[in-house]
Amino acid sequence: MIGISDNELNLVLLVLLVSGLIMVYSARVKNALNWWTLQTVFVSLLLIAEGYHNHAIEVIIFGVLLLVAKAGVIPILLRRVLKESKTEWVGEIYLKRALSLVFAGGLTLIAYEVTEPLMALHSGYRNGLAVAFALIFYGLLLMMARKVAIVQVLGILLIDNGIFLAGFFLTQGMPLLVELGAAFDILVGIVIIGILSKQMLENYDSLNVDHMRSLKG
Amino acid sequence: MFIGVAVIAAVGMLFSAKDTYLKLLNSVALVLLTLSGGWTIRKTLSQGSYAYGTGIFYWDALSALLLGVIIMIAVYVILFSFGYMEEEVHEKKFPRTRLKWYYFWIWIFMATMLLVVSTPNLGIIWVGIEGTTLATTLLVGFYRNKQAIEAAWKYVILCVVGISFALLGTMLLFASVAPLLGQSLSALDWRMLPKVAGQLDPTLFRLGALFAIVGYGAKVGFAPMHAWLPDAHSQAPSPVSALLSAVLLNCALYAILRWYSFARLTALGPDFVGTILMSFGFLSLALMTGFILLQKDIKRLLAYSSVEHMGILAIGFGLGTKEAVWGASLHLLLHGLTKANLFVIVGRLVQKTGTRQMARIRGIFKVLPYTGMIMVLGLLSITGTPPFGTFRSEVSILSGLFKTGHPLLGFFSILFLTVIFAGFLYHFLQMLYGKPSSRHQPGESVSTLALAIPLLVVLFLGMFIPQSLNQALNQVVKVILGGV
Repeated sequence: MIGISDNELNLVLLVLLVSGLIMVYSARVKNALNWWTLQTVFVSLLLIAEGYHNHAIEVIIFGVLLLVAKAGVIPILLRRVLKESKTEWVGEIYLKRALSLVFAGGLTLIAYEVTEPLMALHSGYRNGLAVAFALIFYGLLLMMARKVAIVQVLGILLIDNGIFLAGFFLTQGMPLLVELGAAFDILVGIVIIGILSKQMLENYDSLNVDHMRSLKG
Repeated sequence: MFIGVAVIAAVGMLFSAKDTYLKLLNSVALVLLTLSGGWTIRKTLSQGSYAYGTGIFYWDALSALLLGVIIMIAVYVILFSFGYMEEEVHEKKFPRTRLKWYYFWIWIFMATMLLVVSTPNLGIIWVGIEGTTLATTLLVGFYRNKQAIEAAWKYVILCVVGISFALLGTMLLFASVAPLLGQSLSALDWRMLPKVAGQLDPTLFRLGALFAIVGYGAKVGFAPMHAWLPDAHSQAPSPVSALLSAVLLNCALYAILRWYSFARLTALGPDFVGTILMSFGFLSLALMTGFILLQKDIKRLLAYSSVEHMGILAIGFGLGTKEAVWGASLHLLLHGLTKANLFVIVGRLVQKTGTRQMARIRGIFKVLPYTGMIMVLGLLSITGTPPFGTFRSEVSILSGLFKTGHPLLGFFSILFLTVIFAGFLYHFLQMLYGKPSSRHQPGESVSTLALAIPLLVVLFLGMFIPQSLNQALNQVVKVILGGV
């Protein structure tokens, strides 16, 4: 279906999973962002490979667009925000990095467990679907356990990759209009988050979400 | 076509250098929106459904109800915005040059909501709902102070994550439908889904429906995913709060209702999604009682009350009896009107008194008598007191609880509603009477009373429901319950 052998597919999945794990373990935001970019490149390549195999030109075009928008525009935008805010540290307050990695391992097992009932339907994609759910869980973990606003955004982006992968393995591609809409939305979302973090910098002088505790009750 | 009107209006706002142009453009856009929207609603209700452009756009009674709510409240709120935002500029809350951006985002927000209720496709509905989040983020943070930015940040992060779960749910649905309807856009068309609903894979669909309802539920503000809601509603400019509370929440609920109406036909049975909705609804109602009693900030009070009313709606729709769904559909309309009016009048009050703290607002009747009158109407309407329409709709929802054999749930719902009534009464009476602080300049013109129009409509609908509205609501019930 995808046009690459099972071995190669497993290799790609390994890259995706490991890059997710490294993001959880990263001490520097910039490294995490780079690993996310790499991951996104592989996700887009997976899509392009499928389009090439099925001779579906629109899928290839969409894959290339995704590559440019998500692996190109978003990292540039976020890197600019990082530079302006002089943010380096990911802000591990609740969970230290080593412990986060242990949690992530546990989440991977849960991902396999959750996707178990779906496996009966798509036996060939067992690992793919599980990795997709694992990435979604890592994203949630990052969002909850880190204190820097941009890392929360990275969490969202990781979840986005995971959902995209899940859609890829579940349905071999959603309707193109919906995919385009989803990709456009995440791009606009990142731009808006960029604007917002700029305003946050003007008000707080840092991107640490710990300052934001005034609204309660 | 009205989506086009909204987009063109939004872009036009950016090129309107002068205030008069802004107001003129807004008025023209509102007139066009009302005409084209009203025409669509009439056509839809008289034919039962109406398709435009080979079915890319499609309306039935449920879409028409939402369309009507959006347009009515948009007209009211945007007209109110003229004076309100002018005053905010005077008070140096933000520079005049940013006024056009305010209207730009308002109209983009309108366009995304109109898209949600005009498409027959669950995938496009998702794109639209995500769009509403993005369009409103900068509106929530419009004042650019610390609290506004905190609220906007929480809002965008929580809602984007919530909505991405809804995307996962939509994908799972697509995975279970695609073998039956083919790998095309029409597989997510809610006109097609009921035909194959019986054959859907239950495991895949159950997981999908769960993700979708939790995801959209975060956007509706069901407890315990409501954390963003009071922050966003209290920090946004008041007209935006009115739009968020009165229409945006309903739009997200609409997405859930679309799932609900065909989920009833699947192998999981009609009660699966209904039970989830009722649990969320009851939890929201129960938790909000405490928040409303202990609230100090008047806009947060209204925000928590929105969560509570979304809970009531969820109970009504989740029950799935004819009477309860009829009541919930009516309540959706009436809550929208009431809450929009309350946010508008409270926004004015906050502007005049310069504080959102209820403890510092006293003696409204002495300084702002007309505002006080409208607040009394609002208090009675939001708490579902007869003869307001909200009483009628809440009674038909609650009586459904007793009729379907949930006397305990019914008892507790009524108990919570009574406590909430007491809470509102306490907060409002304290503000209406007492000795006004010397800072308030007394006096206001009679024209303030014009702001009470939505509340008067709610009052009117409590005493008399026109035949045409009743028929429309019966059509909505039919759409949701599938021709029962």
